[in-house]
Formats: sequence, structure tokens, C-alpha cells
Amino acid sequence: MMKNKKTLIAIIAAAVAVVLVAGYFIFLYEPYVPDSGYHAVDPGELPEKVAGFDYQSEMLKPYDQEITITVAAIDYPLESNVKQGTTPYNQSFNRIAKEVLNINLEYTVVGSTANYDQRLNLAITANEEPDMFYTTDPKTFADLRDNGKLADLGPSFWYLNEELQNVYLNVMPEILPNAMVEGKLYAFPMASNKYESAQKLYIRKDWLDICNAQAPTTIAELIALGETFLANKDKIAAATGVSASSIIPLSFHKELMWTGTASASGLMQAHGASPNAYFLGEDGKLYASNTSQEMKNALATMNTMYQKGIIDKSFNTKNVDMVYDDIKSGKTGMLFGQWWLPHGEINNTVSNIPGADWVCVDLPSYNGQASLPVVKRVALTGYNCVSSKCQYPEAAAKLINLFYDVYYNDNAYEIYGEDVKPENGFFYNMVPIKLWNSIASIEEYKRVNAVFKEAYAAGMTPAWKVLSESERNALSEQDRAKYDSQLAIYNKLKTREKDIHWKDGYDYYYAVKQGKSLKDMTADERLGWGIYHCMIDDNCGYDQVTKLTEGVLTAKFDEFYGPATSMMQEKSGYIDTTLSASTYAKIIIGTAPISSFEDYVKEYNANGGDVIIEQVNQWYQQQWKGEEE
Amino acid sequence: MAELINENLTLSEEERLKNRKRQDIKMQLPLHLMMAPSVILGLIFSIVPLFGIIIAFQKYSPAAGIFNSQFVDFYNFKRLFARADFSQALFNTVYIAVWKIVFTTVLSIVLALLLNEMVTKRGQKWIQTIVFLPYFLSWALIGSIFVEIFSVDGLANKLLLSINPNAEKIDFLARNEYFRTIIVGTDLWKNLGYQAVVFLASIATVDPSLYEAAKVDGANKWHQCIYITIPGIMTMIVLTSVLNIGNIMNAGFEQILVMYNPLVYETGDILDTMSYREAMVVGTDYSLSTAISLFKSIISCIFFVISYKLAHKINGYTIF
Repeated sequence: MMKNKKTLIAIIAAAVAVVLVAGYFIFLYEPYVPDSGYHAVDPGELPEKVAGFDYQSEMLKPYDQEITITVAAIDYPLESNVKQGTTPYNQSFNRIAKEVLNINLEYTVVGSTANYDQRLNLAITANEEPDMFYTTDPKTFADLRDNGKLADLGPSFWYLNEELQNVYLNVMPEILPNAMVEGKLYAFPMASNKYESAQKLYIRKDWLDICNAQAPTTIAELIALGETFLANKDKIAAATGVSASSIIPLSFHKELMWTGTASASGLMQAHGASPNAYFLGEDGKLYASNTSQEMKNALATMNTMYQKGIIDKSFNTKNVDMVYDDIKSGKTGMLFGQWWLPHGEINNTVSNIPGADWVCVDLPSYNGQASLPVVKRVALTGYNCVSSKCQYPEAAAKLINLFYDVYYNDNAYEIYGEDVKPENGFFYNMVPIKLWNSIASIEEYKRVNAVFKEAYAAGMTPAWKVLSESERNALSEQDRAKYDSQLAIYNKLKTREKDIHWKDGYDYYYAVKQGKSLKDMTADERLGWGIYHCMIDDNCGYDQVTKLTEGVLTAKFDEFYGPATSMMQEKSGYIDTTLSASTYAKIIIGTAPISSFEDYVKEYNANGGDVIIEQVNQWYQQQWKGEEE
Repeated sequence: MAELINENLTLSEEERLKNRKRQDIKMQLPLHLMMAPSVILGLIFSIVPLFGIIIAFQKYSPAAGIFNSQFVDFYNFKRLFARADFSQALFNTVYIAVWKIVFTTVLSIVLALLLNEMVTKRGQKWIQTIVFLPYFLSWALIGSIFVEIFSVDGLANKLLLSINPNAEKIDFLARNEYFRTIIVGTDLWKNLGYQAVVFLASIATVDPSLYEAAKVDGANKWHQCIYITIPGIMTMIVLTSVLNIGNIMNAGFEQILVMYNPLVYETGDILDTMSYREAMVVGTDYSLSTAISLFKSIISCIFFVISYKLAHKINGYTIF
């Protein structure tokens, strides 16, 4: 009896469950259909300034009572001139913010370049995002924006200093709408000079001399040069002290979908391809570079170079730091990179290895076509966001103004004291929230280039220094006139340029002009090698950026700069990273034939690639329509 | 105590029961309190997070959180099953796990038998310690050492070149034909000692008089091994093998994460690494990542139930 009762109850329960489940599926269930369309967003207009409110006086006005703002920061590796042991927590910007604005910065999310995004996401998931933070990920930004997690910065916009307002409203008007929805501003987007990401080919000049070879202008010559380096590896080894078996003609790292320095993207760009870029086709539509014929060509070249031993045989296990180690220890002969590379990693080769020198040239051309560096049509590099929980959204604008003034104001030392010097713990990269003047660097380059020429012509030597009044008076009248004219030239430089470019670079500049070879230079003179090749020389890294910006040189544009489309959010992780990277690596190494590229294209499109390109084109048409109106 | 009993005698049956219960609680309270921390920790770290499974059925957004994300029913599973690399990862998981289990079990039995037969106990202890040591090292450490050993300029290639100076260098960890072998091999090296000690302990429980009797009957060492030792530890062998069925979806996450690279996704990517990659490396697709893990957990759960049922049936072994 008892058992029967139990069975009966079980049967009834099961029947009820079945009816409920069936009922749900028959009457209530609506299958989820992923969004495959593109929805244009109306950016709207910025709110008007509040009439009668004196924004000018508010820009750097301290709060009456100390306020605490929680922030996030990236713990970048320190540059050589920054005080050792500087961290986001103890950087001098915190003291400056406290003194000038009465803002106490509290760091709740701090990560390295590798794990910052992950930590920020974790904080967001736990509903503990900082008051103010910077993200480069358009997906994170869109997600926060759509879920009401971001403060409206529209009213705060007018607290920004006038130069920044001018950049947003007049110089680069295409930037701000990306962070706006219907008149609400959800971030201060970070814009940079898009041409700064253009790549060049860097070659060990001393290796070229040893092999009696020329810098390549075509891909065929590039391959030939690689072979020459290999054929002469004993000579190179004997001259530079590196072991012959460890010589790597061309280095790049395993992250094949990265576009930065020391990645494979420079070589891809020489073929007209770039990872995850969208180019304008002849039919007026955008196409994905990942699956293009150009990419296939690039992979075929890379496979050839790998088989010949020109490309690093173990690139697939090396991260960017390991490539930098190879460069530092003098194993690497060539790499692709951006304008700042001489000031960065390849400087180490010059200071470590006597006689080591580098030369940089334009991307070699493929099949007779001009090879153009690939840059984004609009370089929106990140978003300065403020949490909707923050009580003082305008503090973001004030902090940005403060950073801007500390960095660009020529009298910053007098205004803010010694704390703004790198050797006292000021490191621009660690400042949690900031905006750059994206055109200032061009002016800086032109000014420094001109002043150095003038200074050399006026007979200024590295020993020249600013004299005290009594020292000046002690000079003969003739000398004094000469000194005064030299001082006038020197004073054309901004304070920071005197401190960095002149202090580090003029020794080297002078030695080069005197015809001294790198080998014969003193350590002090060699110190200026990096800054000279980045920012001073006629043919330096920034010269290319300047020429591109002014239209003297041209670039190829990656046309898509919108927020991630719905299908991108869902699929690009797999197809644009996992699938593409592993396919490319296999083709380069040769474990898969070049013909497998066609299978990859099929797999790519079957997993959402075809929908993404549709969405990207819809976005493009929307932009284009906007242009016409 | 005596008063209590006396008192109880005067009470009705019902009241006596009640009293008894109260006494029980009083006596057991310290025991319950001692257990409380682990129960609470278990609740916090094992039971409450189960709620997160819901993410697998959502289009999860960190900003919206679990409560406000959109529900998408089985969409995450649909797109998971549509992916070519998923079936590959599933196959790799089972394939690598099975080979690991088979090799570890068989070879550790052999090793245990050999150790058992060693004449000098001192030598046995030495070898036992040496093969046991790698068990304590973490994959984060020895994984990167193995990556170095098998790299193009690593020890393995130097060895190859010393045997045949004309041989071409092989990037072992970039080649699909070697990757699984290296994974199973290095795992064997790490875990063999531990398993062998388990069997060795089991061998020690075999009644020594059986060996004496066998010797009298003229059995040599080989016969003793085949007819006494192995049957003696058969229960343990069966039990270990059966319980290992539950591990069939565990192919070694840390090991593969440290040692693999995109070139060997085809042979080396397992469900755990795929799940990790989806959420942490190439993107922030927490929903898909959770779906992968949930799928894995359900299959694992089924295998666990089967393995425990089998263990109970064959050996009468019960945990629950």
C-alpha cells in the first residue's frame, strides 16, 4: 500500500513536470535568435554650456573638501629615465592631484599590460568598478554603456581645457560621436595620431656593412638579404661576438594577430594585408583582410622565408619580451616596428654591442605594387570612462586638464615643482586618466630638428651650457654677443625638450655631424642614439609620421573603427584570434599547405565571418551617408 | 548520570524520547561545531557558485551581471556544437585522458612489482623517493622546463644532433604528431611514482605466509609474482581502474595550458583549455566558457556515477 502510494505520487509529479515543460515549450518558448543586423546609433548633440558659469576658472579649481576617487591604472614597465621603484600607488602624480585639485586618488584596480583588462573585467563583474578607468576594449565600453554603468560626461565636457575641446570639436570631429548616444557622452575617447602606428623595417646596419649588402626595397630583395645574412653568419659572428648558430635574420613573435612592434604584421602590411583589418575593395565594399588574397600571399612569402631559415625558427614559442631579448643580445638582424623603436628596445643593442647600429627603411614592396603602411582610418585607441556611481564626474575632466598641463605646459616645473620630473617619479604611462595632444609631437619634432640644425650651424658644442649672469658678464663683448645668439636658439626649445632631446641627444648629433663613427663614440655620445633616430634626424622614425600626416606619404587605411558589432562580440574571439592565428602559424611553419587557406576561409565564414562583414558594410554605409549629408 | 536515569524512569515514553534527543544534541554539539567550518566553506565555495551555471544559458554581460543578462536558452550550446574546434577538443580530452590512465596504471603496477623485488631495502627507498619527487612539482614550473627541453634549441634536439649530426632540428611542441606523446609521457614521468607507491603499499598487505608456502611448493620469483602478488593486489588494481573512469574528462588542464600553442590546438586543445581561452585569453565570452565547463561537468558526473556504481558492485567500495 505504502509503496503504491509512493509510486502514484511519483507518477503524478512526473506528469505535472512533463505538462509544465511541454506547456512552456508550446506556449511561452521563443527561441533566441542572435542579432545579425547592424543598428545605427544616433550620437546626438553635446549639451549646451550652462550660461553664466565660469568654466575657465573651474578647469583646475581644487575641491573645497578633499574628495576620494577610486581609479584603475596599468603598471607599465618603467622607462629608463623614470625613478626606479615608481608604481601607480607611489607615483608623483598622486601628490600633484592632491595638492592642486584636493583629489585623493585611490587605486582599486592595478594590472600589468598583460592582465589589466582581465582585472578590470573582474571588478566590473563584481560590481566594484573604480570611479574612473581607462579601457582600450570597445566591447567593454559598449557593454558598460548599454547597461547604464557609465556616467554622462556631457556636462563635464566643458570643464576640459580649450585645446582639448578644440581637438574634439574641430581637429578630429569624428572621434567624439563614437562615445555618444543621443546627446549623452559616455567617455572621453582617447584619440592619437593614426599615423604613429605606421610600420617600418629596421635592419642592423653593421650587418649590412659586413655583408656588403644594401637595404631591400622589394620582398624578393628582403628574402635575398635574409639569405645573405645566413651565408655570412660566420663573418657576422666574428665581427659582433654573437654565436653564428644563434643568428636570426628576421624576428617576430608568436602573437600573429597583433599589429604592434616586433609582430608579423609589418611583413603582412608589405603584402597589403593586416590582421583583423577591413579594407575598401574595388567594388566599394569593405572586405576582411584576414581572409584576403593579400593575406594568402603574405603567408606564402612567410612560409618561404621560414623554410629558408630567415624567419626565427622558434617564433611560435616566443612572446614579445623574448624577441626583445634576442634583439638586445644582438641575435636579430631585422624586425618590423613603429617610429619609437630606436628609443625603445633596439637602443639596447647599440649600448650593449660595440659597433652595433640600425637603419630603418620603408616597407619592401611586393610584386611591383607600392607597399603602404596600414593605419586605422580613425585612431580611437581607448575610452576614459567614469562610473555612474561616481559623485564627481567632472573630476575626470579636471584630472585630464591637470595631466595635460603637467605634460605640455612649458612652465610646469615652476608651477608644480620638481614632482613633475620623471626622475622624481612622474611616469606619464601610469597616470590613470589622461588625454594626449595628438598633434603636439609633430610640432615637437619639427622644432627640435630645426633648432639642432641651427645650433650646429651657430657652432654650439655639447659642452655649451647656460651661463649664470656673472659668468656671462665675464665674457668678452664679442663672446657675449655670440653666447646671446646661441642662448636664443637654445631657448626655442621647450623645457621638456631641453631636458630630454638636448641633454641626451645633442652629444650624439654633434658627433655624427663631425663624422665620428658609432664605434669611436664615447658612452655619453652613444646615449643619444635612440632619441636621435626617433625624433631628431631628418630621416628618423617621426619623420615618416610627419610626412604621412601632412600627406607627403600615403598609407593604406583600415576603414572600420566603429564599436564592435553584435556578431563581432560573439564570434570574433574564435575566428579572428584562435582560428586565424593557428591557421597562419601552421601555414608559415609548413605543417599545413598553403592550399589549406581556402578551408580556413570557409570555416571563417561558416562561423560568423560572413555576417560580420555584412554588419561592417552596413556600418560603413551609415558612416558614408553621414559624410554626404 | 544515575540521577538522569532515575528521572527518566519516572517520565512517560514520549518525554523520555524528548529528553534523549536533547541529550544527544548536547553531546553532539561540539562535534557539529567542529564540522561547521568545513560545511560553511563548502557551501560558500562549492554550492553557492553552482548558481553561476545560469551564465551558460545567458548572453552574459559583466556590466549587466547575472541577474540582468538576457536569457538565450540553449543558444550557447548550439554555437558551441557548431564549432569545429569543439569536437576536436572533446576528442582530445578523452583521448589524452584515456592514454594517461592506461599508461599510468599499467606502468605503475610494473614499477611497484619491480621495487618490491629489490633486494636492498635502502636502494628501494632511494628509487622510490626519486620517482616520487616529480609528483610534488607544479606544472607551471616543470611545464616551462619541458617547453625549453623540446624547443628547437633545446636539450632534445641537442641529443638528436649528437646521435646524428645531419638530422634536421625538430620543433617538437609545434608538431601535431609529437604533441600528445609528449603530454602523456611527461605526465607519466610526473605521476608514476605516486601511483607506484599506492600499489606498493597494497603489496605490503599481502600475507607473507603465502610466499613461504609457495616457496615450499617450489615456486620461483616469477611464479610468486604472477600467482600471489598480482592476485593479492587485484582488488586495488580494479578499484583504481574503475575510479579512474571518473577522470576520463580530466586530461590535465595546467599541463596543457603551459605546454601548448596555437599550432597544436588540433591535437592538444582540451575542453578545459578551450573554456579558459574563451573567457580569459582571446575574449571575454563567459557564457560560452561556462557552457563548455557545464558540458564537461555533466559528462564527468555521469562517468563518476558509473565508476562508483561499478566500484560498489565489484569491490563493495562505497564513499557515499
